[in-house]
Amino acid sequence: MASGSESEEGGLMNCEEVAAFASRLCDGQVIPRQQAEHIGTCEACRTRLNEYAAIGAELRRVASLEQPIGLKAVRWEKGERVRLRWREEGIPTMRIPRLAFVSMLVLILTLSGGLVLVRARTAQGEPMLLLHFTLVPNGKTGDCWLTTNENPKTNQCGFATDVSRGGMVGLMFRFISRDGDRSQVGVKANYKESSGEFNFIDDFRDVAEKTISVDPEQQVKVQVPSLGEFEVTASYLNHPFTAWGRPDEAIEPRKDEFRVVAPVLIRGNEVICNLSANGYSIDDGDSDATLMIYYPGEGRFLISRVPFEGAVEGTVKNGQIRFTLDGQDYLLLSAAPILRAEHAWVSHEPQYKLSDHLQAASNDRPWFRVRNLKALLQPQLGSD
Amino acid sequence: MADDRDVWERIRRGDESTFDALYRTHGPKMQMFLRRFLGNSQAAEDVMQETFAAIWQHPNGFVAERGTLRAYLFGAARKRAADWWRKQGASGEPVQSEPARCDTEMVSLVTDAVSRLSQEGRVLMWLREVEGYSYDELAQILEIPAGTVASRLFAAREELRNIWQAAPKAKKGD
Repeated sequence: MASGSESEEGGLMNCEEVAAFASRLCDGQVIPRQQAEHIGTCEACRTRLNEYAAIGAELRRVASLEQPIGLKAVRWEKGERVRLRWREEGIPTMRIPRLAFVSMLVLILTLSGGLVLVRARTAQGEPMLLLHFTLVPNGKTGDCWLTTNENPKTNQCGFATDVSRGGMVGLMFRFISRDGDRSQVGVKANYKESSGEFNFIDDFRDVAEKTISVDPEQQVKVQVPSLGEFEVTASYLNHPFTAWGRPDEAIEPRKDEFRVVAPVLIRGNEVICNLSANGYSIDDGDSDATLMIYYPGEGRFLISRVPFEGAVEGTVKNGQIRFTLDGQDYLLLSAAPILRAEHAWVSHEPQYKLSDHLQAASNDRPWFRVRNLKALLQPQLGSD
Repeated sequence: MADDRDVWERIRRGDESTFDALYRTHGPKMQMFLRRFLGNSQAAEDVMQETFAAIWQHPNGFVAERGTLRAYLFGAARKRAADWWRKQGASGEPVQSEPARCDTEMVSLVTDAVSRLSQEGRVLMWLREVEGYSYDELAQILEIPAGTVASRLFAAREELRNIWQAAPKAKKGD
């Protein structure tokens, strides 16, 4: 084992010094010439190399004799996931089928006053920068608000929508700096022809960010390559919004308003529906306004401002509705006061499947809206 | 299976079928690896399931620039297995390795020899020789530099070789 061979420098190379290189050779690595020559001429080292190879082969042979492993079927429940948060995660893909176009807008534009994403924000002292934009080619408008600080979780905002001639356009705004009333904002704009979806990660990856200056007195035009322009105006607000995209939404609900912001439903001591990252839904004045919450595994809850068949009465106080169903106490929490009334009526259908009721809906995803009670009790819900 | 980055992005978005395909592709190998690491089939299955479940619930650990997705999976499994060992130690209950399935005498010899290696040696030899992981992937899984992977593999081979050289004589003489 202690044999040696002459190195290029004329010295003797010890087999023990070369052994580690035999191991590397075994792993398909290239080794220095000196050591390679030694292994080629030294019988002991070649034996060692062969033994290493034989050991590996035996291990693989033994592994091949092992019983194959049968995997248990596992259902990967989405409801149990830590959901990607829109702004924090750079915004995941939004698939936008034509039929559900208006549903797409819940994430994108505030055209319908329906459900939109909202983030609970702490008062940070800095004003909010509200950007209002209009897509010139199709006249669509939208709002976007950014914190005027360096927090990347809150100082960015993105939109995507389809355009009448086909394809999708995506916009991304990022607050950079502020000097008086003038702010520097980074803008990315990308138009995808012949596409029905927009991925905020992939589709912005290779798009260069332009810097624009905005102030409340000025309208800025930004070019979207291959599409046209969009116009941006800016204003500042001294408070975070109660509901994203509705800068005038007050803390207190209006007289006939029914709204739910980032709802969480608790049964006993257990949180059964946590939609705190999923936005809000508001009805501005329907006398039969009713909240429907669908949650995978829990069926649906209807919470109405009016009595209806099979419903139990609950009490309303600010952002809370308490009720008892089947001997169990429930508490619905909303991040803002829900309605001015003191009572609400609640029903629960544990076996309810959203896909039976709403075209193209997934039973694995939570869903909630405030809508007219009669509409919610129809055999089929229209997408909104 | 598609590019790791693409697969991961789909998983992050909640694509169950992609995640299930990942589970079916890597789950069996991971479980075999964990059997070697833990010496306990039930624990290996539990740790494998926990590893996949945790990744599904918190899909935020893989960075394509740092290595391959399969290395990330096995690295996550190794950490969970190490936790399992720690808990076993903390509970004071002795950990009993299962007897190997001896289909042939040589299986027994190899299994005996491998079982005498250090835990890290077993893991390294298995992942390198059976699963075919590269040095870079092993470095990612074990969170050690690639150079250290090479030296530790060498040490494990030497240890195994020494056991190997002695063992057949005793066994064959039985």
